[in-house]
Amino acid sequence: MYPELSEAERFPLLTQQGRRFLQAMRQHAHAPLWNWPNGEQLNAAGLERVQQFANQLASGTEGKSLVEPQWLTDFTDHCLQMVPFYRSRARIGTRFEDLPTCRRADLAPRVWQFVPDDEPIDELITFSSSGTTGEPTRTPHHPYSAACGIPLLEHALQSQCGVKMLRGSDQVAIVNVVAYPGAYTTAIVMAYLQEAGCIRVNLDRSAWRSDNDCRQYLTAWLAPVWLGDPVAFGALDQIDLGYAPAAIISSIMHLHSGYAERLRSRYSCPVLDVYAMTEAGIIGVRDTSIEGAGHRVIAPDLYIEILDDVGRRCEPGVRGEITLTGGRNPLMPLLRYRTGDYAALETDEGGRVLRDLLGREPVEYVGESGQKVHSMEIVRLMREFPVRRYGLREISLGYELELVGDVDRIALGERMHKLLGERFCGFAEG
Amino acid sequence: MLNEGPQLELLLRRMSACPPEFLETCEAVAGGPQLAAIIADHLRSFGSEQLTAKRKLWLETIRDRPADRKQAVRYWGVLGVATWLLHEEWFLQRPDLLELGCQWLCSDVLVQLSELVRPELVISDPDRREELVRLCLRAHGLRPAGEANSQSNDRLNTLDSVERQRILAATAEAERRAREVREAMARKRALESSSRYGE
Repeated sequence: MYPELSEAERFPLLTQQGRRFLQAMRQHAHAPLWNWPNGEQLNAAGLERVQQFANQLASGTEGKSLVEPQWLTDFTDHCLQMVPFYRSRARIGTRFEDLPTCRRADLAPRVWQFVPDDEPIDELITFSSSGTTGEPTRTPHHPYSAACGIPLLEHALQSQCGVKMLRGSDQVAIVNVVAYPGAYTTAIVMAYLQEAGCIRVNLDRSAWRSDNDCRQYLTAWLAPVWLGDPVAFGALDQIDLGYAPAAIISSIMHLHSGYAERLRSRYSCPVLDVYAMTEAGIIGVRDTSIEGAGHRVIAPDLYIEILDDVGRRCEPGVRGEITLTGGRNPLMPLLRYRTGDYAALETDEGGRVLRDLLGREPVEYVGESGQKVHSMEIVRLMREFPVRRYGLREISLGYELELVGDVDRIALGERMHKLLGERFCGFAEG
Repeated sequence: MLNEGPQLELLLRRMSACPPEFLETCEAVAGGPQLAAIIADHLRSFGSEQLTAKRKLWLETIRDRPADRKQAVRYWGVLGVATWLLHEEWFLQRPDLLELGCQWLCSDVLVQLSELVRPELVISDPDRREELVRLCLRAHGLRPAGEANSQSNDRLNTLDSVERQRILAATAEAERRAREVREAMARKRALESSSRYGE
C-alpha cells in the first residue's frame, strides 16, 4: 500500500508503541481511504531543534517589540552572501530599509534560487502552495521547520485559552479536517508530542467507504483539538459527532468573527483564528483580549514590517502590506518578503499585534447544479497543468479563467467544465 | 581617479617587440639566474642602490610561488614579459613609479593571469597583449593617454581574463547548485513531504 518511502524514512524516531498506534489509526475499521501515507521525516537532530524552538517560544522574551532584532544584521548578511536570489539584487552593507522587497511572483518561478548555497539539501522536503494568490508553486522546507508548527499551535492554545496538547502514543491530539474532493488524508504520530496522533480527514463523502464511517472514525478518537478552515468546519457542522473539542483552530483562510462566535456557542469551546502561510508557517493568532481585537504575533523569529505601496515603512498603527524577514525554514529564508496580506502593526504590553488583518477569504464557487466547489479543488486542478499564474473571475453567466503558462487549454477546459458545468464560461482573452 | 599615462600604442609596440629569448630563458632556467638578471638589469637602470634594496625581496617572492613547477614556469614567463614592458623608456623616466612597478610584479594579479594565459600569448595575441598593458597601467594608477577613466575601465573589464574566469566559474557553480536543488526537490521524499500544521 505504501511502496515509496520506508517506515524508517517517514518516522526515523518511531518506537514499538508508536508503530502500534500508527497502525491502529490507519487500519481502523472505519478509517477513511488514506491517500497520503506520509510521515514527519523528523530525525533526532531535527527533534532537538524543534525542542529548542519550543523553549524559545516558552521563554517569551523575543520578538516582542517593533525595533530591528539583534539577529537581523547577521541574517541579512547571510542572505546577501549565500542566497542566489538576494545576492543578485543587493550587496552586503546595503541599509536594511534600502534592500529590495520580493513577493510570491519572484519566488514561484525560481524557488531554488532562494535556497542558501551553504545549506545541506539531503533532508529537503517540499510543500505545494497555491492558490489563493494565483501563483502556484512548490517550496522547499525542512522537516524541522514543518514540525515547529506543533509548538506554535500549542503556544497559541496555551496563551489564548490554557489548552495543552495531549502527549503519548495512545491518543490523537489533533484532527485536521478538510472538505473537498481529492484532499489529502493521512494519519501520523508526532515525535514532539511523544507520538500522539494527528489525523487528517476529508469530510467529503468520496473519501470514505460508507456513509457512517466519518462520524464513527472521528468519535473513536475524540481528538481534543480540531484544526481546519471555515469551509471544513461548515462541513463538520453537518455531522453530529456527539462531543465537543477542547479548542477549534481555524487557519489558512479568514475566519469571520460572526462565524467564530457561532462555532464557539455550538461547541462551547474556544475558537482560535491563526494567521499562517506556507512561506513562513504560523505567524500569529487572533487575541480577543486585545482592545479592539487583533492578531497577536507569536513567531519570535520573524521580523515584521508594514510597507506602503511604494515600499516605504508605515508608522505603527498604519495599515500596509505585511512584509516578513527571517523565519525558521533554513531552506527558504525570507528577506523583506511581501505577503500580499494587509494589516497595521503596533505593540501593547503583550508584544506585537497585527490589527485589521485582511487574510484570505474562504472561497466557494457554485457549479451548474448549485453544488459548491471549494477553491482548493481549483488549486489542485491547476497543479496538474504547467500553470504559472491564474485567476478565476466571476462574470455574469459564471466564471472565466485567466491563465499564464504553456497549458493545453482544451484539456484544462474540459476538467474545469467537469467541476463547474456550464458555469465555466471559458478563458479570459489576453 | 586614474592619471594620464603614456600612449597605449607605445606600450603595445614595445610588447610586440619583446624578444622571444625572454620566454625561452625563463622557461629554460625556471626562474633561475636569467630571470634574476632580467630583473636586475631593469633595477640597475634606476641606480645601484635600488638594485640592492629590491632584488632580494623580488627573488624571494618570486621563488616562493607558485608551488607547482609547471605553473611556476608560466608565471616566470609572464613576469619576464612584464619586466620587459616596464623597461620602456616612459617608465624609466619615472623613478617615482618604481615602487608601484615592483608591487605589480610581485602581485597576485600576474600569478592569476599566468594561470589562465600562456606567456607566449601575452606577446602574440592582441587582446592579451593589451590586457597586460592595461593591467600594468592600472597598477600604476594610470590610464592610456587620450582615454577617459570610464573608457579605460570598460576596456579593461572587457579584456580581464581573471574576472571573466571568475564569472564563468561562479555561473557554472550557481548552475550546478540550482540543478542539485531542483533534483532534491523532485526526489520522492521531498514530494511526499511531511505533515503541515495550520499553515
